[in-house]
Amino acid sequence: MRNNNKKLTILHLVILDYAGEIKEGWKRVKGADIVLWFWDFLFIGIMWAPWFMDFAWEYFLQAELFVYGYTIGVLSLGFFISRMYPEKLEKTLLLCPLTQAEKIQYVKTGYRLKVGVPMLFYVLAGTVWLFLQVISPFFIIEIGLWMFFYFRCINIYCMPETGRDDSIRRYPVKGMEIFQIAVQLLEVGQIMGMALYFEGSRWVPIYIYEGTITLLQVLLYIIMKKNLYPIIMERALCYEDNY
Amino acid sequence: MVQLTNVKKKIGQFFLEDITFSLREGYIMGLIGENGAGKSSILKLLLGILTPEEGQISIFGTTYEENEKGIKNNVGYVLAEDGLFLGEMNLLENARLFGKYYENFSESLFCNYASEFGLKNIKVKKLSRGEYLKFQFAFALSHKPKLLLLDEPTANFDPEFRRKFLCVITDFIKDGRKSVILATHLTEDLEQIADYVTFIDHGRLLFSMDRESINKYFRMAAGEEYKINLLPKENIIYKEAGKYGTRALVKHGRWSQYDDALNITYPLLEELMYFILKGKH
Repeated sequence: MRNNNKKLTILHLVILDYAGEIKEGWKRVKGADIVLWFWDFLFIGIMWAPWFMDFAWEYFLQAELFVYGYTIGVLSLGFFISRMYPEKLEKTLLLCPLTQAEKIQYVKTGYRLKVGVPMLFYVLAGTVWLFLQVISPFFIIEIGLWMFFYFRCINIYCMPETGRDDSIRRYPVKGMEIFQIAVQLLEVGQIMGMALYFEGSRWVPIYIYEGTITLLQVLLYIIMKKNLYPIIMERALCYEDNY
Repeated sequence: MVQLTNVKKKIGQFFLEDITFSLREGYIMGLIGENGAGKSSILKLLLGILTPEEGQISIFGTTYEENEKGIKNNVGYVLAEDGLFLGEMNLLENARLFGKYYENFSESLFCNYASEFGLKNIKVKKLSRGEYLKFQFAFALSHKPKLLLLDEPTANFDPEFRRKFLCVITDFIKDGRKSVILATHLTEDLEQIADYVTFIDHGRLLFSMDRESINKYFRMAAGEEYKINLLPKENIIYKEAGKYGTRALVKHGRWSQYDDALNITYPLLEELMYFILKGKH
């Protein structure tokens, strides 16, 4: 019984830890680095530009407008979450009589929640897109948006190496920032390609292109998952680095 | 109860070197030294949130490697750092939340202490500095620790609460099975309660001894400068000429003799700290 209570408490703590960071996270969003703002918001606009252009307007439905707003909302939330570094309680928990296993449980619960919640939003968005694909090829955009969102989720754990200095970030994969930019540039190609080959007979190359990018994502995800845990654990369980 | 043996630790550019001292059950130790001397670092080592690079720390006869949970269950702390509790929650909610982890936490005890310390059940973020430390103190006591580690709390307390604080501390060790380590650079409070004094300077241990030994080995001599100059030079740790005479901290031995014209007293901890540091630098 006691253990169950503790599990609940640890989840409770993680949620509180996260909630306690909302204000700080918001402060960081304001005036956050312009590159991220660009990639997260302006770039989405660029991605969607073809749909606002005359040649694609015929495909643009009222429902898509809703999804556009919905997507921006979800992505904004993802971006916001990425600016939150919920680690305050890790400090306090180090002072509490927890075993190493319990501390690891806290960190893992936090990790799952922090990555899982944004992913849940993604699934929700994806579900809407899935229905929409029946009525429009619009869903292809999903891949691009998913990638943005995915990287924002990953960024949650690309924590500053010391303190909370955004200028010193520690990525689970070497050169990840460059990789992100490269993938996003590929996405530009994807969108532009899609716009150019939008006529029904030319769908196949776009699917191949998307499939390749998706495989790259999966590969990156596997590498990250392998590399993330040790970093998270080291950061969370080592007071000296954490402080 | 607490034993540090040749503990070494590098924290950034700061080094703690060869720290060795011990504290038995039922006693209060004052950890003194200037700001940045290494007092807080020693407390963090004792709290297990810093790990020594060399040497050993034993608390309750065990180490953090052997029984971290057991030690932490029995250690209460008051730290100068912010962010140890959730600012958006009130005192009781915070105490309940973190109290769950302690085997002996008592909510009613926490409420009693909070009320005794004049704390209102408001959000932690709305507490003043002094209130925040009082809250930590109440929380520390409410899980019935055997060892209290206190990092400079008194400087932020009002005079009335300082007295209460000292009473609570004295009461805490009354049963002879608990101990307190109080780090401070304000030695006034320690005069009243400390049984042992450990003096740290620039990460090095200058001495760790009980009050009787301090009184046995040191004397303050005050009087005319030429009279003080007649004392054996090797015994004078530091002397300082003032407007109304000269004062010196001297090493005292069984055979030490002093001119009748000199005023010889036991040194206050503040004098001890001041004169030793001056003599050293």
